[in-house]
Amino acid sequence: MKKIGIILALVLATVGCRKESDVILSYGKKDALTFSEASQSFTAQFQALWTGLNCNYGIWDYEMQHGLDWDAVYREYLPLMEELDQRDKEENPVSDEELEALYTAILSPLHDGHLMVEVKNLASGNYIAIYPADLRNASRPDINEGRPPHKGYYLTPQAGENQALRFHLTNTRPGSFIEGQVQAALQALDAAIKALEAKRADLTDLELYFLVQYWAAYRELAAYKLESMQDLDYFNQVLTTKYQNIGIAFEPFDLSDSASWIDIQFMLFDPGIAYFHCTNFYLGQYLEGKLMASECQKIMTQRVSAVWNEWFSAIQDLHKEGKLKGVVIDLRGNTGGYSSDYAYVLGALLPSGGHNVSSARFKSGVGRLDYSPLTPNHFPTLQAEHAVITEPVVVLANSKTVSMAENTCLGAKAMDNAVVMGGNTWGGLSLLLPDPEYYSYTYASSIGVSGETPFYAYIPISSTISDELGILEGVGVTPDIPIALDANLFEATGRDNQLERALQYIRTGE
Amino acid sequence: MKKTTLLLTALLLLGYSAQAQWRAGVFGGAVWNHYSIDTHYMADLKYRGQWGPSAGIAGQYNFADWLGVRAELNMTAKNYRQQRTFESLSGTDYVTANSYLQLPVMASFSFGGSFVRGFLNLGGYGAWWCSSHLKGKYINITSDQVTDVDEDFVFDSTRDNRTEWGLAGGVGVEWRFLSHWAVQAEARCYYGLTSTQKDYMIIQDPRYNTTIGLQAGVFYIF
Repeated sequence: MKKIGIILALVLATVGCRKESDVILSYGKKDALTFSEASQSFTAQFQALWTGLNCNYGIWDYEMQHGLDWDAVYREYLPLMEELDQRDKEENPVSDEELEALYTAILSPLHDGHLMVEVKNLASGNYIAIYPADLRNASRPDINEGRPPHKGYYLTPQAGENQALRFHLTNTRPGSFIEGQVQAALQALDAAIKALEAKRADLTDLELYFLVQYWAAYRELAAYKLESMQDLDYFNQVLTTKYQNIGIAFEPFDLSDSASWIDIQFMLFDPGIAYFHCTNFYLGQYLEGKLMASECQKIMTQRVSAVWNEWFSAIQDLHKEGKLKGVVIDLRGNTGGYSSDYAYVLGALLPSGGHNVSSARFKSGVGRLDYSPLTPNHFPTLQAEHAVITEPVVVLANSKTVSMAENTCLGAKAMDNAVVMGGNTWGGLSLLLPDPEYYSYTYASSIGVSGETPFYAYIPISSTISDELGILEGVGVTPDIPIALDANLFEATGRDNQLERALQYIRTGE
Repeated sequence: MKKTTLLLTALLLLGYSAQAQWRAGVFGGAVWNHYSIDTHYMADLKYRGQWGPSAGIAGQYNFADWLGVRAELNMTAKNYRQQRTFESLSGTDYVTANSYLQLPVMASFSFGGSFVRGFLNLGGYGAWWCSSHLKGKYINITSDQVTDVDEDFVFDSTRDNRTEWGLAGGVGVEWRFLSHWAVQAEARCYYGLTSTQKDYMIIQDPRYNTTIGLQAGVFYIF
């Protein structure tokens, strides 16, 4: 019995040999206890940020392939953070510059194209922000291509066969909205002034009063320039009502949806080539009537819908008439946006029911390499009845084609009748749900609260994996037909050689 | 691998020395596996135990009427199910079906009469994680689509610890229905002591298998 007792005691002792997990806190929301230590020392701040990234960043396997050892980063930088804590806070406080240099070294190897980390300097109270993708892409030779060249040249006969047959553009930024109203007011004032000036000798006192007022308004409005937020505030708060007594009033510009400001453009080239450009993917905000709270938003919605409808109707009509030769979707300089916008650009050419563009992988645990099964990144296509476009499609891209725009490029690569042309994209394809509500949906997403917690990291919630190309973070989508922008040609003549190459491809198939 | 080799050598030596006390048999049964993992703050993520099969061969050398050494080679399923219970995530529900090739070596204590005897096995095991397959559904929250999952799990040599060591034990009853033949029924437990993940990061987040089951077998006694 004694022997059996000893054996059982040994067994029980062995059973207790399992290790416990470390405690991992939820960094999704601002929580006093979670962030308390990190608000008091550089060491704890670093440890918490390192742990948050360790658990919530989605592509550690990819980083390992690129030679990054995240544990080694911890071991290397922890002593340096401890040194910062040992500094005399009065005589030798930690400067923003040295903290930025430290975190730049820590974070710059990370490849996620969306990642942004904000760290509070506990000594100065200032926040520093590190954008690893900006740091990486700064050395790209094509990074200054930026936004696509404007298309003024193609409205002139100089463009020859490339002269646009039709041209529609609009934007939802304050400039055109305010300038349009001001120009209309100036025309009205000019007419009113001329009418009164014509009978100057017979003016009544009241008419004379109005003439003086008209002139005052005319001079101020003619001199008004929208160059800063102060100018915008002045318009919204003063000018909109200042001349109401003489019948000059303006709709204020609605700043509540500034994140959705968009420029869109439709051009029709001969023979039957429909060109569309948008600076981001906030089209759905307007096309679905989500921004209708103010008169300004209603006007913007009307404008965007009108241009998009021109493009879409042209494609549908030409296709049905057998006159459509192809479609150019210009995503150069497109900074991304909502994935639901897929339905209004590439998805407007595809059958209803959605388009599997790539695969998504989620974090499935706090371990760096805990990943979910792959699931399709299923982007919506246009639900309304429409003809599927089978003619050639060219998607133009460049180094500032970012996020959702890059996913659209992947979508084009998944189509039989589409090619991507131009330059390599930015390299940030993973999808985000930055609302803290979604933090606990997976083990990945943004950590901390910007400007409130001692650190904040803007992290995608899933990793986009091209079925053929793998993870493309920091690399971007490579065009099927590479062609660099000839900046000298553009500067000298206004010609856009990338656009002309797209037109040539559609016209000749080569 | 070194430990596995040592165990195999011990088994071979055991077989070499077995003579009249040697017995060999086959067995099979069903096992229920519980995967011990800390889900941390993911309150609605549930890991639930799953049933699976187990089958193998066994050899035993008896030193005395009441004591022997038993070794087995079996294939045992160590399955578990991952499920989200939060309404908008409830599309995620899939089973991870794992197959382990196991080598338990146990002391076998027996007691009772000539025909019907009870026994207690106690020892350890080494196992090799042979394969893993995922089957079920997973919700892609960015596309808001539930996708069927039916794919082999791809092992990662940095992450996955394919060797498992642990305790093995069981209690059962044997009926010797002929002079050289006996049948056994046993309740068995495998208690993993090594994490299914390697210690690949500073943060510790181990996961363990605990597998219990019922098995029946037939033995030939030499």
